[in-house]
Formats: sequence, structure tokens, C-alpha cells
Amino acid sequence: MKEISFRDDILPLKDKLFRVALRITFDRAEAEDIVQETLIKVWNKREEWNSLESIEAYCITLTKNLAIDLREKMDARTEELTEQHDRTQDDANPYEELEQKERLMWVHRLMDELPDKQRKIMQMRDIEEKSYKEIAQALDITEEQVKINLFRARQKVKQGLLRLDAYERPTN
Amino acid sequence: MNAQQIEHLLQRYWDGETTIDEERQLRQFFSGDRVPQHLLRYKDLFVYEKFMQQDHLGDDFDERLLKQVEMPVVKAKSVSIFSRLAPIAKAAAAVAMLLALGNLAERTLLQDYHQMAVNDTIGQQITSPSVALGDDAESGELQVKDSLSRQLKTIEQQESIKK
Repeated sequence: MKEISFRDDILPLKDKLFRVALRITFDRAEAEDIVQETLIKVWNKREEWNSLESIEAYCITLTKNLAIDLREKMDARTEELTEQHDRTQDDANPYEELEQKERLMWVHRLMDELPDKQRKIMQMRDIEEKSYKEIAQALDITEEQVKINLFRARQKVKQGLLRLDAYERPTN
Repeated sequence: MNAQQIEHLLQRYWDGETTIDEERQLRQFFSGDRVPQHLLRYKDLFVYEKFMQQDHLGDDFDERLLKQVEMPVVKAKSVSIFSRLAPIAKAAAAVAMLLALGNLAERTLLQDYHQMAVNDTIGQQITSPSVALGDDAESGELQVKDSLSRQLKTIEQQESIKK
């Protein structure tokens, strides 16, 4: 059996784990802390590495659990802060920060609700900045299909944004 | 970019007609704080896209993490052959320098010694500088000895003639 090396096999997973944590917390600093905590926990369990079926799956599960725990804690704090915010207007900054996170989460949920192909195409185009040709090749479809799916995806996201706006407006 | 241009660009974005560069312009514009009120409803999408693009860790992450994780074996690996040999190389350089200095000092002292010896015994400079500065100290010494004995002989001869 091949010996697992922390530096060669586990550390290179860091960006993947960071993306997992980022999609849950929507906060770079928190996501970074979570990846660090994950990797230290994995290091401390080095006696068990060889008995694990997949070290990568193990790391991803650990990161997810840590991120969800943190988000639950943050959600509890948000409620507290929202209550405080009603009483004191002085400290508006943490409130705004939390609101920003909420907004990113909302858009993420909109993207998540898209059909699989549409979501993948919109991600590749608008986040990874890939050309139509590259996307077509990667998904083994025609460029025309890429364009149609991208059009539908963006239209759906736009409708979602307008729904959010209509929901927020009366409270503003 | 004014609001009208942005609206036009935005329409083309929804229709799937923008280029990658124009899409970047939109993300840039909506990340700024000069978004007109009526376009704010679209801001979140472009902020989200930009946020998701920065999905890798900083360069100093590895260093900070490895500091917290004890890795004696891996640390040893990171030492290059050059830096491992550095102390030995330094010691060798120091010894070489000491030897060179010693040699130089010896020659300088010997040179003074020869000239002094000549001056003390004879009372006058009899050796040419080239003899004392010769590369081979021993042959220099021999030459000094020879010239000394020659001088002594000459003096003895002169004295015996006088007698």
C-alpha cells in the first residue's frame, strides 16, 4: 500500500476544501480557518490514514461538518444581532456584513435551483470565464446548446433577483 | 461608464450576447459603490460571481499551516544539499584563510629577519632586495649564508694581508 504523505496527498486538497467551506460560509476568513482546522485535525489522526477508504472524502466531510457547525453558530448570532440592532443603531457594520453574506447565499441558492446542465454552464462561463467553445468541449455538446442553456440560466436567475427585490421592497 | 451603457450591456448579458471581457466590466461596475438605485437589484449576482472567482487560498497558507503541524521528516527534506554542506564549507574556508595568512606572515617575518641579520652582523646592507623577496625562502636563506661567508672570508683575507 502506498504511504500517504501530508505534503503530497493532503495539502494539495486545500483549494478544493476552501471552495467547499466558502459555499457554506460565504466568508473568506472563516472558510480559511475551517480549512486550517480540517487539515490540523487530519494531521492529528495520521495513525488512521491507511485505514480510511478515501482520505479526500474524509477531508471533505470534515470540512463540510465544521462549516455547517460554524454557520449554525453564526445564524444564532445573527438573530441576537438583529434583535440588538432594533435597539441600538450605533454598530451597523457587523449587521451589514451579515446581510451581505445572506445576499450571497441567496444568489447561491438561485444558482443551485437551476437544472444541472444550466448551472454548470453558467458557472463555467460567469465564474470560471470559459469560452463557449471550451464549455462545449468540456460538456460534449454544441456551442449553440451552450448559448441556449446559458440564456435560460441567466433568465431564471434574473427572475429570482426580481422576486427578492419585490420581497424586500415593502420592508424598505 | 454611464448608466445607459450599463443598461445596454446588462440587456445583452441576459440575452447571452456579451463577451467575456464585457462580463468582466459588468462585475467590476457592480462591485463598485456607484450603482444607480434602479440597478441595485442586479448587484448581488455580479458580486456573487466575483466573490466565487476568488476561491483559492493565499500563498502564505501552507507556511502558516506547516508551522502548526510538526513534520520533522518533511522539514529535513526541504534542506538543500548546498545549505547542508554550508557549515563544512565555511569551516574549510576559515582554515584556508588561516593557512594563507600564516604563510604570508611567515614570509614577511623571515624577510625582516634576513635583512636584520645582515645589518646586525655586517653593519651594512649587503643583500640585494631580490634575494630576500625570492619565492623559495630556503634558497634565499642559503644565498644570505653564502654572501655572509663570502664577506667574512674577504674580511679575514684583508686582515691577514694587513698582518
